[in-house]
Formats: sequence, C-alpha cells, structure tokens
Amino acid sequence: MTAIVDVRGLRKVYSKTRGEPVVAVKGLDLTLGTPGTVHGFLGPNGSGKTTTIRCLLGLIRPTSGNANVFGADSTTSFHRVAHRVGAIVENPKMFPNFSGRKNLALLAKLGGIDSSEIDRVLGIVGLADRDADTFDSYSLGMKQRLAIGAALLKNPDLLILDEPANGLDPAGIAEMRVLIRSIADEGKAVLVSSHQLAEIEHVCDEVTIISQGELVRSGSLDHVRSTEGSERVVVSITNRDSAMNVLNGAGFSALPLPNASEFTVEVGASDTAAITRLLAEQGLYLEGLRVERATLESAFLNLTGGASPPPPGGAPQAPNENGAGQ
Amino acid sequence: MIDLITAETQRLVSRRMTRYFPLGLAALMGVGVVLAILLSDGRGPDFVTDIASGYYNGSDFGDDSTLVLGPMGFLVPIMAFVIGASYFGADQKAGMIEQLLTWEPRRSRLLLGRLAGGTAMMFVITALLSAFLVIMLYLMCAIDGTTDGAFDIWPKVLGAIVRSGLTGAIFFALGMAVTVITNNSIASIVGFLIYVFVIETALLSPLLPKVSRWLPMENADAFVSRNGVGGGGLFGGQSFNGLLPDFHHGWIAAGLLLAVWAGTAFAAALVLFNRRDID
Repeated sequence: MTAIVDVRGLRKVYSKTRGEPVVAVKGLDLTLGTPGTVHGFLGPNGSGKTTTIRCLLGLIRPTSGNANVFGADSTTSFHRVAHRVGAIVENPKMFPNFSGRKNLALLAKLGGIDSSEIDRVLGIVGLADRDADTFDSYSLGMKQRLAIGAALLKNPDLLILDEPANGLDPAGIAEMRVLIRSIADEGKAVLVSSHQLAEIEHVCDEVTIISQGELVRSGSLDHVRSTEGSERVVVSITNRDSAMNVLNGAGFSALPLPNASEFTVEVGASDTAAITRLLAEQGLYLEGLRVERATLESAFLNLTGGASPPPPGGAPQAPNENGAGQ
Repeated sequence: MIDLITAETQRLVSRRMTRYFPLGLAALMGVGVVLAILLSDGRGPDFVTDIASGYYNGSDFGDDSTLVLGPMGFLVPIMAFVIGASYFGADQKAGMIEQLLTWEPRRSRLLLGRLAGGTAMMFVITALLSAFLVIMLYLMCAIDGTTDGAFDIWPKVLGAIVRSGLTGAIFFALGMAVTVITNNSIASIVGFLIYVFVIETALLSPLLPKVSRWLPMENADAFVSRNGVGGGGLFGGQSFNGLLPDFHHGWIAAGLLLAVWAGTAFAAALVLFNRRDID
C-alpha cells in the first residue's frame, strides 16, 4: 500500500551569497501511512519542520532525497495529488482586501470545487457570520481559522497544518483540537507541526521529533512518551530545603516548585520507595507524594538536548534570509 | 485554465493599485485638457488633425497643448508596468503565490493564468483610459475649437485605442516578468523608472539613436501614435506619419518588437519561476 507521506533521505541545503551554506534538513526519513491518524511533527526552532513541509508541497526542491505524497514525487508530480492535500504553511495567507468568503470562492474556483462547500467550511471554522468582512480586518485567530477553512475546502485526504494554533485563544485552540480529531476520525490523515506540545499531546496518535534537521525519534505517542519522557515525583514536605539536600546528596535531581513546601524529583516511578526511605532515615516525613507520568514535553526536551520549544501561542517564526524558517 | 484566468482577473481588479493608478492618470488627463484650454489663447484645435495625428500628441493645437498632453504617451506604459510588477510582487510578498501553488502546483500554468487574466484586464483598462482621453480631447475641441469631421475618423481613433490597450497589456506582461525575475517588485519598478527616464530617454535616445530605436519606450510611442521609428528619441525626430528624416521601421514592426521584448522577458521568468524555491 502506498504511504500517504513518504520522505526518504531528504536533504535541503540553502546556499548563501555570503558565508557557509545552511543545511536545513539532513537526510530526514518520515512516513505517514495510516488514514485516520494525526501525526505530530515536532522540533525546536530551525530544526527543519517547515522546510520539510515545503518540500512535501513541492514549494522547494530538495537538494537530495525524495518527498512523496500519495506516491507522487512532490518535486515533479505534486499536481497529480494536489486535490487530495489541504495545507497551511506558517502564517495564514489570503488576499487581504477580499472578504473571507471571496477568498474561499476564488480558491474554490481555482480547484473546481462547488461553491456550496464554502458555506460548509465557513460553518466548520466558525466564520459564517463574519464571511463578508475583509481578510485584513480579521484577528490573527480568525485569519488562522479561514486558512484552515481554505485547507478543508478540498475535503482533502491529507491535511498538513504548520502551526495551526498560532494566534488562537484557548477556546480556539480547544476547538482546533476537536476539529483535527474529527477530521482524522473521518479517515483523513493529518500532519501537524506545532510548538504547542500540550496540544499535540492531546490530539496526536503518532509523533516525529526532529532536531537540527535530523530525525531523533518517531513512533506512536505512547511509545515515545514512555521510552523518552521522564516521570517525576512531586514531594510535599514541611522542611523542603533539608529534604532536597538529602536527595541531591543521594544522586537525585530535586528542583523546587513555587509552592514553598513542594519540590520535584526526576525519577522512574519505581524510585518512589527509595525517596521515601531516604527521607525517613533522616527524620524527614512526607506530607504527600505523587507520581506525574511522562509528558511529551519531557520526551521532547530529553530528545532535543533541552532545546526549549517556543512559548505556546508565540508569534510565527519569520524565515531567515534563506527562507529556512524551520 | 478558464477558472484560473477568471480568478486572476478578479484578483487584479480588486487591487487598489489597479483602480487608483488609472483613476489618477484619468484625473491628470482631465487637468491637462483644462490647462490646454486655458493656455490655447483662442487658437482652436482642428479635432480631425488632432486625433488623426495620434491622439497623444495634440499637434495642431500648438506647442502649449503638446507640452500638456505629450507625457500621456509616456505614462500609460509606466502605469501598466507598475501594475504588472506590483500585481505579482505584492502577492509574492503576502505569500499568496505559495497559497496558490498548493492549489495549482504547475507553476507555468499558474504564471500563464496570471499573465492571461492580467493582460486581458490591462488591455481593457488602458483602452478605457485612452477612450477617456479621446472624449476629453473632443470636449476640449467642442469648447475651444471645432469638432468638424470628428466622427469621420472614428476607425483611426478606434485603432489608436486598441493599440494603446495592446501597449498597456504588453507593458503589464513586461512588469510582471521582470518582477518574477528579480523577485522584488520595488527593485523592478525603481529599475524600470530609472531605465525609462535616465537610460533610454536621457542617454540612449540622444546619444545612441541607432540603439534606442530597438528599445521598448521608443517603440511604444511609435506603436501607439502609429508613427514609425526613426533616428530621433521619444521627444526628438519628426516622427509624423512616416515623414521621418531617418525612418527605420513602421508602427507594426514597433508593436512586434514590443511583443518580442515582453515575450522574451516572460520566457525567462517562466524558466526561473519553475526552478525557484518558493519560501
């Protein structure tokens, strides 16, 4: 069976008129094979996510390697499958002085799509009552939603969303999550690149994490989280500083929390007995102890060497001078 | 392809530049005609001669009106070039080319669709603008001269309007092509203005007329006014109904030369656009 997305040995080098060439992607492999799956595509700033997505959409040419979508080479034959792919790349892009509806109407005309679809997607993205307003009068969140509407207009089998939650308020992010899940539940495949790890964690079935243009881990969300993420123990105790000294002295890594009586220890769940015992031996008795399971964020930080994801809801990153935005 | 061309035509018309630049030029024509009337000092124009000699250069009306109306022949190609350049450049800058390519990934097809929609619309806009000028000239003659025989020469007037529209379309294509090549609309517009006012008009026309007779602005003037191209520059020579002292080629050849310029630039733009990363 043909993979929905099949990237093999993808490499992209941006040559510069001054200075060394920038290697944005270094031999990346990525597979998205199952319809109905949401695949998170994660990486720190400049890790090559957007470059990879642009290669998938045929917007830039790989220096070497292949990017195939539904079996078509994106560089030469993306037009054969374009009707099956809806995409947003970085910022929402529409004609600024057209209304939301007119923007969608133009794209629908371009794609030979029935105009009745416009009402459907305006309803899905919650812009039915603002459809006559011009795009440049929209808030960032509304622009983002219209761009998603445009991507949905084709009723695509593959939806590629690059930072879809940018500019959305918490309610909008929650709606986005439901929307992405519902699209996948209809049997479509969704590839989501996002900085919002918590959101990805809520909605994804699979993740691929890249760093500095290279694949560092790919697999099911549960697998990546459990094998790469750190569990942590939150300890409540009256004499916090003494307790932290004891544990740090025993080789644990204890870090204080804002609450004056709490601190965390990065451990496996099986180490909780050792923590309890060590503290009790020093006459320090716990008021509480809870194990927090491994998160995608902890897996991400471990795999990317502590490279912090950008702040949630942060502004989209501007491409550098070579366009290597990610 | 028809849908693409229709969409592109709508897109071009929606742009402020496309609406306000011709409107500004029309206002300038109106002011020019009013000034011409004020400056005519009772010397009535012979409308028939006026139009037949190429409506941009109001000839018999006297030197005063020529000064006022003469630059119009210059401004139409500039307007078309600027609109063509900004049409592509603004969308490129806003990321719309990228958006459109996710819908129509065949780049040549996208660019040709834009070209077809844009040139068709620019033909209409420029022709309308020229028709407006003809109307203004007619009014000028009605107010301060004679309109006798005006309707006898309507085929020639119509021809001038069509040629003007074609020139607008050609310079639109040129502007779009140059912007695709440079990937920067501001650079292409500034570069074009420097070329027009400094390189071709101020330097090549007076200094190297044998070179300038092959160049776009010289031939645009010759094509629209239905004069031939001779040894003189845009403001020089006795370019009048083939009475050039140093006649080189006629207005049809001038139009073909313009088409070759635009076609060559567009072919280069297509090659580059197909190879370029869109980011």
